[in-house]
Amino acid sequence: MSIPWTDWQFWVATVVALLALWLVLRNLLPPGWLPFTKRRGKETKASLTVGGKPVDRK
Amino acid sequence: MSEGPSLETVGDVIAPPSEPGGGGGLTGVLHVPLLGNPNTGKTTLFNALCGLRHKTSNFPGTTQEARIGVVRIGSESSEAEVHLVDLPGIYSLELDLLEARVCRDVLAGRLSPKGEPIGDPEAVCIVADATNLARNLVFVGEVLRRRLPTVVALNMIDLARGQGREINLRTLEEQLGCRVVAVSARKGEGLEALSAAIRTATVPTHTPPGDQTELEHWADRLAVRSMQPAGGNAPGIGTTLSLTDRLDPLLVSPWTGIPIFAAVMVAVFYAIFSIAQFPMEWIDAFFGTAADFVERVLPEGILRDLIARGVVVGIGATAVFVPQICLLFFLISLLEDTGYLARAALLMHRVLRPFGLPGHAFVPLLSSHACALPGIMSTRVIPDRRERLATILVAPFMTCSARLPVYVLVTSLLFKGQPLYAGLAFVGCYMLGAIAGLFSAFIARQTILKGPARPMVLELPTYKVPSLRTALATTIDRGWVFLKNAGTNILAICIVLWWLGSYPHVLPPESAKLLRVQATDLRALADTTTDTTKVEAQRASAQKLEDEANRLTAADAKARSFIGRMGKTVQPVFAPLGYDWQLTIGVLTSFAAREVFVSTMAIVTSAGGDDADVHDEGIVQSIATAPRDDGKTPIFTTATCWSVLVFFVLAMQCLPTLAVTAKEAGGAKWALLQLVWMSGVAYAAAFIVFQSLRLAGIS
Repeated sequence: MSIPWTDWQFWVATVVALLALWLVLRNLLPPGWLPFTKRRGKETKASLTVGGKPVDRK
Repeated sequence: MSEGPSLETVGDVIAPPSEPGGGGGLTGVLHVPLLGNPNTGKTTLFNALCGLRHKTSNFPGTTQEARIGVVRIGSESSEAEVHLVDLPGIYSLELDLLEARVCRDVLAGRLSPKGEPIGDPEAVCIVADATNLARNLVFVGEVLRRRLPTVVALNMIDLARGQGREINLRTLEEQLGCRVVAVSARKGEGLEALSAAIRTATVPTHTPPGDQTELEHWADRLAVRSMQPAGGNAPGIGTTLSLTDRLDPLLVSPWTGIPIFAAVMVAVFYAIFSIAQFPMEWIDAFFGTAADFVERVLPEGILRDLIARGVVVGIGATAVFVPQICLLFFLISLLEDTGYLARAALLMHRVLRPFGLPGHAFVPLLSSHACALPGIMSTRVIPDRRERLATILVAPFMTCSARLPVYVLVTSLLFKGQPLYAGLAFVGCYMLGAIAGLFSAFIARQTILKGPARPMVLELPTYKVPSLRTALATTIDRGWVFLKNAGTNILAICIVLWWLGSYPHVLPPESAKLLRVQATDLRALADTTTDTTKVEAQRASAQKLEDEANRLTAADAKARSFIGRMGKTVQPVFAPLGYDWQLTIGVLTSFAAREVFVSTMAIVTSAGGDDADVHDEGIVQSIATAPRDDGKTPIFTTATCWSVLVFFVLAMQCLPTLAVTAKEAGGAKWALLQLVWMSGVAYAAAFIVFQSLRLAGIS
């Protein structure tokens, strides 16, 4: 029972399998949990303006 | 609200518009949203204008799909490239719905489909139904108030004429203050005039009332005025019963409508399963040949195995379902285009309502019978978020194509030579899935998704001959989205499973070595024998021994692989359901995708290779008689078969579906809930079935 550590083909196959696993998990886990997945930027509030002037809210 | 198009702010070169009807107009790239009420033939018009020259993307930050088509108008010297954006059909811009918000933001220049620049649209094309002018004009009025260069496409003008409705375009144009073009998207009438009008669109000269009640009165008055032919009397509308008037009492009434609906659905399913089986077999055979070809051409090694058994099998596992999915979309598109689907949704509303689901859920649940992925993606038509989430959660309970090989295998083990009983068990599986889905929806709507039921407002469009062109365009579009989204996931899962099933490497078992020695001895004996008949018999026996040795080696390697060890570790969990470690491996791999169950069982029980075919009697027989570790008890006893069948009907065993659920529902927690709930229900049901049968002495 062995892992062919010295076989370069094993490493190529393993990298491909890891990429595949990353692809599967990317859709399952929230953004930012996995490396190379974007976390959504923090939402910020902005005041409403029309023509650059603030709008009077009644 | 936007004050007309800011031509300076848009990146493309825009010439000022000339007079309406003139030969010039805008040049360069024009971004034109196409919007209107549902069922006004908007998509048909989009397809008629753009053909297959379109792409599908999303609006950023939403799950709302956007289709962008390109239409070139004018000569080379003054050509305009119109990027037509097919917006979702809505009844009002003011509704508190995602679709309405998307439309509002696009008109205000705040939102564009991915890949398109954000900015005010150069023109707007409103599609209005000529057979239902008054209500459509309310929406037209709302858009005109945005003060953007606008063109109204009065679609289905041929149907309106057929109903005796003559619409005075001149009057309508004067009252609206913008260009109105009569078109029949289905027949291709008026498309050139519409293209020219889009290019020369101007800001409307009138502004309709802002108050909703006043707007409705304005629309009513305008509809009546424009229905009067210039200098003539009003046409005799409704003097004869139209086809719609004659058919609706039959198709919408619960007493006649539901049996007709059931017959239509049986016909759709019959067509899907009977027609699609041929291309599915061809695709299956093609990928089997492709895997063999790769194994012959490439030198022996891990990469060859990865390509042949991981990549090719992965692509094949996706592609094999494409015919069914495309056929389903094609038939649904045809039904939708006839106007029948809206009636079916209305009928199903009465059935689904007690379970907390809207009639809109009918199409997603129907689609889920081919594959849960397009079903979940089509829940976008459900306006209420809670109802949409409930539909997403229960859609995978519907029996999908991937379950069918498992049903075929288990029912053929249970009812060998009894096709009637096997067929009844098959129908029972479908019904069990649907019932479990409805009750799960009920529980969800009473607990985590509790909320008032939204009344269903649905326009029943007039019946018409469906457009093959639209159906084909929709089919190609949906099929491609499936291949792109689901295909990537299934391929990735197959590669991961291949890796887990391939390592660590193990030496062949002693029994296999012994068989190989015997085979070598037999071949050596054959070489020294002179009798030709004996030689052939000896060589055939040697080959059989060699094959058996290969199968034993593969089974041993699988059992000692990572996935095999996982099977043995997890087996105690599944022991109360009657599963041994081999069956546990089959069930575990099926959590990635159900369709791999049969091939996994074939390998684990030493019945054959990865491309095992369930229809092959020999393989079914081998799986049926495969023993457990004690060498006597079969893996598939009667009680185990029923337990497996119930488990596969109810369990959430599809990683791509979980991925799509997480995406569409807006969080992994929904996918996790789906997995836990469905698998919990499946486990409990399979436990009850197995233990009941065991206590009854059936094993």
